[in-house]
Amino acid sequence: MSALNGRRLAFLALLALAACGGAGGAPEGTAAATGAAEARALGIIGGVQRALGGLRSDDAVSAPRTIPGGFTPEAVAAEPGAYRLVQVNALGLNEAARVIQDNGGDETLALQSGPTAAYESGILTATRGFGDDLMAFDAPGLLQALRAGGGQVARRMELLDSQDQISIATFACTVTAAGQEDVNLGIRTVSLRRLDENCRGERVIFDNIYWLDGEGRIVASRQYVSPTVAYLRSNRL
Amino acid sequence: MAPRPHLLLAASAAALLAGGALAQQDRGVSYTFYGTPGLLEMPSAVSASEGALAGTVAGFGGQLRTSFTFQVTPRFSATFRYGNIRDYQGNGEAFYDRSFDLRYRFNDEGDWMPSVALGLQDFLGTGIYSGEYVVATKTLGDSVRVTAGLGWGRLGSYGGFDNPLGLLDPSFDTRPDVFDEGGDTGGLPGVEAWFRGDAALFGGVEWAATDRLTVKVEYSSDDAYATLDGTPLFDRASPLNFGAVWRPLPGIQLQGAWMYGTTLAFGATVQVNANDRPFWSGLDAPPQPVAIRPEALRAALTWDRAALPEASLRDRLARALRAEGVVLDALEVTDRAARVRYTNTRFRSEAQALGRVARILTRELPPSVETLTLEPAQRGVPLSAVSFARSDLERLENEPGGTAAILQAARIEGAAPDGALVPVPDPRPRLSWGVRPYVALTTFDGDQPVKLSLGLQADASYRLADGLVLSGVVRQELLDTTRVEPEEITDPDVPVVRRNAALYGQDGPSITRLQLAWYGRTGREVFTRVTAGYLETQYAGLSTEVLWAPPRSRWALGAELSYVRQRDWENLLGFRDYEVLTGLASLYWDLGNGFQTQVDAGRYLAGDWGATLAVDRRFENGWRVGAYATLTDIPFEQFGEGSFDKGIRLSVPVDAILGRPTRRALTTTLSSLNRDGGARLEVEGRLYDVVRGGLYPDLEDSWGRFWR
Repeated sequence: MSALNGRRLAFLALLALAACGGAGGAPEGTAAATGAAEARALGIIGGVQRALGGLRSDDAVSAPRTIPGGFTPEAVAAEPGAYRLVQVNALGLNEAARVIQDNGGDETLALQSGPTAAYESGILTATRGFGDDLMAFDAPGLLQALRAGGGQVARRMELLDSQDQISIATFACTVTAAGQEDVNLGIRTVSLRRLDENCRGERVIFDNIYWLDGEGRIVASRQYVSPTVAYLRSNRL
Repeated sequence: MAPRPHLLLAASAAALLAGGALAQQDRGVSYTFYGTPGLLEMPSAVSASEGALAGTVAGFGGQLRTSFTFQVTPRFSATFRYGNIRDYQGNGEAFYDRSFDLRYRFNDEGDWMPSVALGLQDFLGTGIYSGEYVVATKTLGDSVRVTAGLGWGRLGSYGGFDNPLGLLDPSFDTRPDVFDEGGDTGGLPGVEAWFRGDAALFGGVEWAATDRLTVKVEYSSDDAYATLDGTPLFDRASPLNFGAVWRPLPGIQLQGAWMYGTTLAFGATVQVNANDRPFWSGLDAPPQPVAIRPEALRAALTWDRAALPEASLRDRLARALRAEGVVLDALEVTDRAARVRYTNTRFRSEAQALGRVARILTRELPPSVETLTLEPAQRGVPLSAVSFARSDLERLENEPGGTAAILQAARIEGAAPDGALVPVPDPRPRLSWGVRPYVALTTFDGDQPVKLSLGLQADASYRLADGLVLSGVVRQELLDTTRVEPEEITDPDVPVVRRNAALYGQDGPSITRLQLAWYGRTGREVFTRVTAGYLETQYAGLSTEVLWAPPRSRWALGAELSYVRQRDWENLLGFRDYEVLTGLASLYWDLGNGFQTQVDAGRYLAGDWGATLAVDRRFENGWRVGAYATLTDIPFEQFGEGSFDKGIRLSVPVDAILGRPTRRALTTTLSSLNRDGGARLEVEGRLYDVVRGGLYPDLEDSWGRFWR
């Protein structure tokens, strides 16, 4: 944990500097804490910033983001096909998501807490708002391999590096069938066909899991995003 | 929908850990008491990782040194140093010294081959630290590092022998005292002295006992610790120094040593790296996804204005853009094309704002519109025009290679005249204001070269029209570090235009700025600025500027002409009787590979004629580290200490630190001395800084953020 402490201290120093320079704007969400130490650190940062940032009328524009439909039980009940359950263990996320754009099979989900994830026929192609985002990920032939019950696929992933440049990683992936499983989709449990995808790149190895229904549709999956976000699990209701 | 706290917290925690992992790369590099990578006093051939910026404060034997070392390229580093030697002049007065070092490493270490570097220490200062060296370093196993070198000048002052270079040319045998001959003002490269006079061997061993602790032993060839009249600063009983460096936290090094058998030394180094961004791509809220038009609608050739009236389209667009921190300035929509002029108030990268606006347009515009022209504006002036085919945006979102492909497909040119654009009222209040504490660093001449002051600042600005803004800043100093009452400096030879900086606004409130600024264009690629009023703390008047910046080129040309009058010490509305017409022509040139140069030539504040050369390392993520030097027709002797104006500057983007999008940056300039030759007017909002974000080189640098 020393690395963590070190960065926090260095950040506090930098933030103090930032505030001196008039950076303004306290970081959002310093109250409701899950990680007490982190919350405290962010709380101090926010306090220092507020004190040094002073008072300021807003000279930038903003407006709240809304997710059409919302997440009320009525909305979900009215249109269950538009909702998903999403889980990211590394970020402590376990919540609902809604399809906010459907481009004929290419869907973008918005999580209730904000970030989005794009899927192409159930295969994760991009995320936004997670910090260490997946900029793009292709999967030529993956859906066919899943439906065929196995196969080899070459995939190309793009991330954004610290200099705002696209960095590319390639993966050799093997899809293997892993039998039939009962999968809990939150409000019901169904029996689905499980397929495992093992991907090997130069620096990273990951294992994706897909659960397909009888029509060859991906109903649930656990797919790799990036080194810090790790896996994004999502399923239809 | 704002991301919930726990997500941000978890992400921050992960960011902190990842940042720690990155910093590990530099664990093998430690810094000398001179603030350069090396042993204790002696340099080594080790380089920090590219982009590393290290600040070191170190003291022993009555000296205090504050150094900044920047690893400009993987092999080239530069150091700027403030030195302070207590009682140097013998009359109880300390000596303040500024010095610059350069080092170049020729090769990477091989299996057997050590890395070899050549360095110049204090090659531009008053010369008290001047020395040159060639040094070799070899790492043995994973914890021992051995360094040996040959030094000249200060590094050849102990155990010296006849210069081996004397075999090539006898003129190498003696080291001329160039700094004394130069009238003791320093600041000039002592080329005639380089690698001349006696040479001596130095060296040492570093042993990394643990990941956090490194023990060092060195043999120092430096025996020049003395005051002006030659009195030793401390007793020197041995050439051997023993020390240890401890890294309690990543990026922080604490070093202690027993020096020359008689004295203790301490140093602390803080290291950051421009390539180390703790929040990866940032915690920016996600963009709206592209909406792809169904095939049937795509064929539409006209816009059904009954279904979507122009006014409601404008309102919907303005609202959607506002969520991205973007102000819709003006809009023109025809059946097949749309032209959108907007001001990005949130993102450092105009490329990112372009991407967000473009995506919103795919969601809001009638399906018949195929050509989208986006005009990013700042201060009421469009910077450029970037056009996309809507179907390209539909095709390339979330596609590997989509970032490069959309740049390839975009057309970037100067924004057209307003034409049929319909202005949209700005939703922001005309008046904006703020009150906050400030910390100011003033560098000047005299007994105390640096003044740190603390106070309260209020600012306000009122937008009279697009591009026309009245603004002001008032400060009240509450505390400062000045120990002596500054006295007015007068000089018969050179007008005192900057040296009296310490006298301004000492007591009462001071108006640091009160001005009316107007920004405009006289063509697609020519920008203009007129600023009138109290332009800065020390000068008031009229400043005009014109800039020719073709959006696709790597250069821009500018000219600034100002007539200013020196302000009164009281810093309210009064004046002193010094007036000057000052003006500079500027060439801005993006050299590629992250380097940018700027050449200014003309008449400076003291009426002196000359030119400034500045070179900056500009990182794509917004970090900027640079150096500048100004030569004017004021003779070096009249300029005084330092001989000519020079310094370093640093700008750190706040979004990189906070992980949240903001256009703010922390910018600071450290001049070696604040004197009168080569002094420039400090006018706010120079055109190139305002415009460059919308030009191709900047757009390309951060184009990776287009789809972010």
